[in-house]
Amino acid sequence: MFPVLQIGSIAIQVPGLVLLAGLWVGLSLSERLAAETKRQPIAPSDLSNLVLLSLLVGVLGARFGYVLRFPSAFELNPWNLLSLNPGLLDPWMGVTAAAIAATVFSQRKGLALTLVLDILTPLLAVISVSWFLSLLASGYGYGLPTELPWAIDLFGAARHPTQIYDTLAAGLILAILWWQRGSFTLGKGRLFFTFLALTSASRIFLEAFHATGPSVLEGWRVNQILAWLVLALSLWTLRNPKESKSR
Amino acid sequence: MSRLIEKRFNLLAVGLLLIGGIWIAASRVTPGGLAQAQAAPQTGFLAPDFTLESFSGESVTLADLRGRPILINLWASWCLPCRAEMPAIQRVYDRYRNQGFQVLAINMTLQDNRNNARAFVDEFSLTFPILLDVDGKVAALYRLRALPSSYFVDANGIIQDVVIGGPMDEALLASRVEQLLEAGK
Repeated sequence: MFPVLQIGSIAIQVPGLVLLAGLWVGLSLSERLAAETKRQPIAPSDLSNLVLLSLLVGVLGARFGYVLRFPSAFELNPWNLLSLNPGLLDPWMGVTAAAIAATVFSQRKGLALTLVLDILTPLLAVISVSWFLSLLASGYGYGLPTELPWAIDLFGAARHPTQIYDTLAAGLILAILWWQRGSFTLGKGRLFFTFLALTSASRIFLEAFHATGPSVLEGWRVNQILAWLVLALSLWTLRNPKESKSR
Repeated sequence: MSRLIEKRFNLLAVGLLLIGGIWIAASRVTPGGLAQAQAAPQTGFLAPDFTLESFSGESVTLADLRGRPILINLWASWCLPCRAEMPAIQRVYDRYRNQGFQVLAINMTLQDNRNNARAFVDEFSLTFPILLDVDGKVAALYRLRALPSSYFVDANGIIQDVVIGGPMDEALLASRVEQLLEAGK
């Protein structure tokens, strides 16, 4: 666990730093994938603009969502609407807004959504790795107590090193997809939905070792159920790949 | 996809979903099974208990405040983000204290100067309890990594959020306190 890097009076949040590094590495890989495709379906500038626009709209949407949830919290100081504090963001609203922005941008540029998703897959896979690394730094997403020899001593108990399991799984998925990228025909969404299927399968398996996360009814883990649904959708789509139109 | 490959893919997909479903059922948790009984300075755990004295020598024990949402703020007079966020903490305290909200501002006296800490409290006209961690006991208990560090504790004594570093602004403080108050209803 290494949540903060203290330099003098400045406390740098390590999880945020890891996510930013992931964004940079992921975008580089996606740009490389776009450049490697024979027909150059997406110009590097279009890809950068798409990611930047999605990020910007995502952050604005996340702040808007947070204000909707806690309007009275901003009454004391309305300037806090412009605060740079990441704690004042609603992640789900942010993801939704970013997805809408990416879809609108793609349509305006005449890019097929399945093609955009394929090109963005390396970015998503790297962000997945950096997300779990950020959990390792912050200490969130810790595991259930265990007596296994590789357990780590965390928060007063020997626990499953779930953040390490998750990082390794996400890293393996990234490695497999990157090295096998040549065997995917880009533009049909197969690379993206394969990433989604592998990621959701790993979530179903690894969530069982987590001590965190919501559960419903008789102890069913919500994250596993969502992952199962995503896995089913991904497998269904991979079975029926739609031909897409590229630019 | 040729017919044979499609058939194999379908079999694999159904098998994968079936195994996934069985694994999900097998890894269900017992109700309340994920709750953390032990104390640790981390979200989801019981806030580590302590007893400290204020400037006037009055003793305050965290466990005695069970039933009220609490913000534990670790600070020092030389810490610039602490100076920046303390007025916001005071304003949020003024707004929510009638609903049971309490602030415990713990001065890291081992790394600070008692007179400077006193002057800091007077400068910002702080009205919530100021406690003195003279021997660094709370700093060790909460594994202090950076100043300021803040812990939002619900009425059951469970830490619901941790903010390391700062400054926190009013909106962040107010929204976290509202979440604690809402959860306590």
